[in-house]
Amino acid sequence: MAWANEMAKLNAAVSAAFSVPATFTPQDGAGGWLAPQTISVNIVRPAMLEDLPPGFGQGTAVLRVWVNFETISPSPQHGDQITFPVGGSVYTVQEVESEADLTGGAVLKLRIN
Amino acid sequence: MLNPKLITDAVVAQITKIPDLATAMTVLDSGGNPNVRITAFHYRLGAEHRLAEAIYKMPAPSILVAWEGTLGGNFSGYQVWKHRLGVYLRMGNAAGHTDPVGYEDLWWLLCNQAPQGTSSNLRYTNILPGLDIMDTPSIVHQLDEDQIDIFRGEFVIPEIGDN
Repeated sequence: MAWANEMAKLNAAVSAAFSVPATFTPQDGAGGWLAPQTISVNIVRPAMLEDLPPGFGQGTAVLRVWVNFETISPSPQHGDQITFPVGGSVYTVQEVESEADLTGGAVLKLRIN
Repeated sequence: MLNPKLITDAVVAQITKIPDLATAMTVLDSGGNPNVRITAFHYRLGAEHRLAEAIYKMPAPSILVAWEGTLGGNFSGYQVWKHRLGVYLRMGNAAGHTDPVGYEDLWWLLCNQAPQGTSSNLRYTNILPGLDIMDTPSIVHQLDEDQIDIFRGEFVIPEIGDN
């Protein structure tokens, strides 16, 4: 479909231009973890701004990141973990909000472990 | 009147002694050392976050205890102060756990499991000399700014007389 193709191109362009790398550790569905993989995330404005941006000092406790959801396999879900190279902070995916207009993107709400 | 700061710290000390609750709130830090995440919030402008931000930033799992006011009056002839404390609960990530600890479990432990070294649970403990046992505690469901479930317990603790 033309719309889907255009959105896929837009998502890829946005991801390439503004993303930072992060390590995504999905659950295996049996109480364990699958192998970590590197994904690209775009940090977006959180619900409440904190003292420090990511990567400074202790960084932020809560993060929201946009991801090109349809390109990540397995799809992120509640309880998965995401680690950032700066500071090495590990975050848990608390909520996944898929974009409602079939853009293929989603916002992950992360909280520090 | 007792200093509410001391009461807040005493409540945290007692909660930390509840064995299974402390276990549920313990994580290993980057050095592999256990860290019990049960903390007191104190109002210190310039040194601490505001309460709303402290609650928002609570890591999972953790418990935060904050004094949220004192009610004055002649409640029973010998009680003139009732201190109100908010006990904010944020449960840990259940992924990967075969026996996860949810909010129902945390509240049950808080109300019913005796702190180490005592035979009474927190509801029937004189947390400090000069404090009566607490009124029957309550808990309510809340959503944080990210629409994530958290719970706020409330302890109302009367003083014995006017200290």
